Amino acid sequence: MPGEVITALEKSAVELTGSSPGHRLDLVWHAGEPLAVGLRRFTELVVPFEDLRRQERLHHYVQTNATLITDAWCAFLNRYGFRVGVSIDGPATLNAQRIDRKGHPAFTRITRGIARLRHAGIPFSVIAVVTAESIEQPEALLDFLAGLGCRTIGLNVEEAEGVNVHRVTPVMTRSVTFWRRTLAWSRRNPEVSIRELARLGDYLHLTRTGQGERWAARLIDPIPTISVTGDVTLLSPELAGTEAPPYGDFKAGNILDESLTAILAGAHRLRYVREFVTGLQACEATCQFFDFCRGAQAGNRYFENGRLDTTETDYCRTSRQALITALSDTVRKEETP
Amino acid sequence: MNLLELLATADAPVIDHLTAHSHDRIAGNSDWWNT
Repeated sequence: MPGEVITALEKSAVELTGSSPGHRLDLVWHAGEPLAVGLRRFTELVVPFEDLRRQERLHHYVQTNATLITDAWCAFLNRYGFRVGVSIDGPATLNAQRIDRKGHPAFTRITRGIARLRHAGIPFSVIAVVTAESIEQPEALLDFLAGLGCRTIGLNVEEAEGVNVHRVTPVMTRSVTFWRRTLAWSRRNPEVSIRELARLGDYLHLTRTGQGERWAARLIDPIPTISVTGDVTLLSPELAGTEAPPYGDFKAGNILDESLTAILAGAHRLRYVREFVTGLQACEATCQFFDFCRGAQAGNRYFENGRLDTTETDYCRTSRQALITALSDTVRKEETP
Repeated sequence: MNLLELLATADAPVIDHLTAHSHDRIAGNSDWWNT
């Protein structure tokens, strides 16, 4: 990422976090393998944000496959207060689709990197893509992920999306079974936090204690994604770099030309943003799961349907509807005398 | 009544499990635009 883009981003970060007390920016370094830029270059990229970070106005995050983690990287992550997420799909037999740049399975290097994080006392979360293989083996998957010593587990039931177009989307019934067995595993291992179950638990807690409006009052995070050239994409990072002439390739502006604040202020005029809002309204009007889900994500809508004003997606079915259905099935069994 | 409405009133141990830490999570303050 060129220095001029970093300088422009730092200026925008000052503006975004200075408008009112308590505003904090979470700067997430991701896409590809962020650590591949090398330790010296990554240090050059984060140093301009040090004043903001020390004032608690900015936090760094990195999503990595951990293959490049060394003791020197751990010192860097600690020094700059990084929150760390690791991408791993399960034990070696279930992780074959994570490969390095040479096309070799990355499993051994991933687990070695995780061991270094643990040795350095750096907390981390993991996300796993639930594949056509692991959806049949949730207990083995969760036993392995929990054994890594992570803080939380995130489970992404696979979707046909972006560059990962060669996998087959699991059917709804397999997803329901997966979540039902995941719920059962969670009850046997209550000390392990699973992101999707925690999210559902929070929703149920609020609705069952008369605070449902707190869930419904959610605000849409535009998740501005900044490319190496300074182009800004909103709503879903997967949309960045996608050729889509009718939507202006999803570019909302360029940070070298105008600040993030200015780009966000004009976002509602973008065709793809207007379509997305229309899609959210359609979700609310037609879907029984909307109260929990709050609407399908933009990237899923586009890559599955070619538009953003559509409603149900594979992600909705496999990650939201299947989870609710699995919980409902479990409740029904428990309520039956 | 849809599934979410049923779950909002269901009395089952699995619901207790899911919501066990929610109060602390929410109280503890723990895959902008707001036009």
